[in-house]
Amino acid sequence: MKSNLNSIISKNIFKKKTDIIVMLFLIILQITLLVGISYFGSIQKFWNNYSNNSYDFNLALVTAKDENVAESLYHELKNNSHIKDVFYYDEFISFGVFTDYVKDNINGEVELFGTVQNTKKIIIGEDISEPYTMICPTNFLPDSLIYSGTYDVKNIVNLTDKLGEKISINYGGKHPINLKLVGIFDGSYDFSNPNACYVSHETLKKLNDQYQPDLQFNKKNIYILLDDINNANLLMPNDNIINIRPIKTLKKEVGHNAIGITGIVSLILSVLLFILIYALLCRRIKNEYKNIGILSLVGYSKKFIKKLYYREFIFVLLISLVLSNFIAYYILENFVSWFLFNSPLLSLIDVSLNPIAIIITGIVSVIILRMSIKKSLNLIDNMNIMELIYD
Amino acid sequence: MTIKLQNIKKTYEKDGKKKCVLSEINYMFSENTFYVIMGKSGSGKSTLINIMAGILEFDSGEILYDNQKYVGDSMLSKLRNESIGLMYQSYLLNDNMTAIENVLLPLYLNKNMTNVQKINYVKKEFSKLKMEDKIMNFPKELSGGEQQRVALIRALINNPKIILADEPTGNLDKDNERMVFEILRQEANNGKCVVVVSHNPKIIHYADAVLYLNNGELYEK
Repeated sequence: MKSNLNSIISKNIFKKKTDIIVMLFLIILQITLLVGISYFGSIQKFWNNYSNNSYDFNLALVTAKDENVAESLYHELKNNSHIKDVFYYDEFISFGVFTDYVKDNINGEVELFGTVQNTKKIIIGEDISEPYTMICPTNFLPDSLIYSGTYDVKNIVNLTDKLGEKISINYGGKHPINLKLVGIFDGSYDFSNPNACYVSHETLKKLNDQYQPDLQFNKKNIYILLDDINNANLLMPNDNIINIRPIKTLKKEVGHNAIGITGIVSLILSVLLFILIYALLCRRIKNEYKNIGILSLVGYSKKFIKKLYYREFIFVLLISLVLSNFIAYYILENFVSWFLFNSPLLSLIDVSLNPIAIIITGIVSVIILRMSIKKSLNLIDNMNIMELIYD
Repeated sequence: MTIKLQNIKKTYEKDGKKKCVLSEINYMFSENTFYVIMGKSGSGKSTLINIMAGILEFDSGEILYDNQKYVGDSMLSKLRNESIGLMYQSYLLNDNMTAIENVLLPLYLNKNMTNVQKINYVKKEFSKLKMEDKIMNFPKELSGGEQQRVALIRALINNPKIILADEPTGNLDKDNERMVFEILRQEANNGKCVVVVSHNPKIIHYADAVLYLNNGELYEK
């Protein structure tokens, strides 16, 4: 038998519906905060890495005033210190069917980008240096079906075994060629599509000269690779340029939506929780008036009695925090397959429990509990012991 | 321990009208004495005893315990825990706790004893009143007499210097009534200041002093 204050607390905890209901609501609020903030944090982190390192986010399309100035503009841009590469669209992109990967569920189609060297983070192997060499991403998936939304990260192909080998490709879908795989780059932060491999400009030019000699370039549209997309503004004003448009912009609204929804849901839950705790605790204190009065009669001060309630809810808070962290961890671990499954870009986001989310959740929970308990415990201050004695 | 009431005044407001139940009460309750306060219903007996217990505020005047003033909830709570034992007609036991846990309640605040000592001490007190086989019973499993014995053990468990009881035998049969009076008498003999509010004329035989409360005034007969 316990003969200390813990026994008083254990007499109440888990036996009171109040504790269970409050704990459930706390867990819902905490999970919302933990998952929402962690998700937002992960997306932010991913966007930051992505925008800082991505080749594609530093690409811009320059539209020349007319065909007459296009050629001189091309050379002008090539000499700009902020511009790392200048090309026409068809100099830059083509496609091929990787014959080794034509299977039942994938058609082996891959985009081939003609790019400058040393713009990718090579994980295994080396960067493009020789003609007819290429690099492919870690998340390689030779399948044009990714555009139809059937992308499944589980089908990603590991190219490590093919490193150093020549890979058979039907260039443009009809001309058999071989390209040597020399490197695998980090696709987690620096890629356009998982079915995109990169060759040099020279290689692509040679391939086009050989197989697509009649290819007509639209010379008014010039693509530039900047050292930083923000430096695009430095090119203006220029009488020969109509406008400059970044090729890709970050869809930050994904993150903003996450934090916005989290904020609104958390706010509503917080208000509900405050009202709920206040109402439940007021009712409970009224139901426990007699027992509170007895404590007062045998020498417990009101301050001490209030502490007992606080202690009880500290237990509720701690237990709910532990449970909600476990649940949130489980949800986040499975989050990718639940919600980000179909997006090749978002599926690579590493969504994990964020320590800041844990701290914020703890603080919010403590504030709401403290406020609602303090307000309801005012009943004890105004309690008339005489009423309960002679009730 | 003595209780000195100095000009204690208490009025209640009911239906917009003020009613004075205690009017400038002056009295000194001494140790080693069994006091009985009698009076008609509504005369203010319970009000007086609750004021003396520090659980009811009064309008004016002063109460000194051993010539010392106790102010504020913390001080008065400490005084009640260490020096005052309280008994009421309705026993006031916590229904969710067993008999022994109810008695342990005031002892939880005692830091001079270990948990084991507290339990053994309480068990000994239960056996004195032949209640040792009832310690694990909840109040609802006890008769009225047994509940009042538990309340009595609880009131005396911290060896208080003052015992205040409001109609402690109101719900008891004759045997239990006699037992309670005898124990309170014994406590007075042991140096305690015992003050009992009662309608029961039999208590007069146990008392050292019989006080009457009438029209807000306390007097000895």
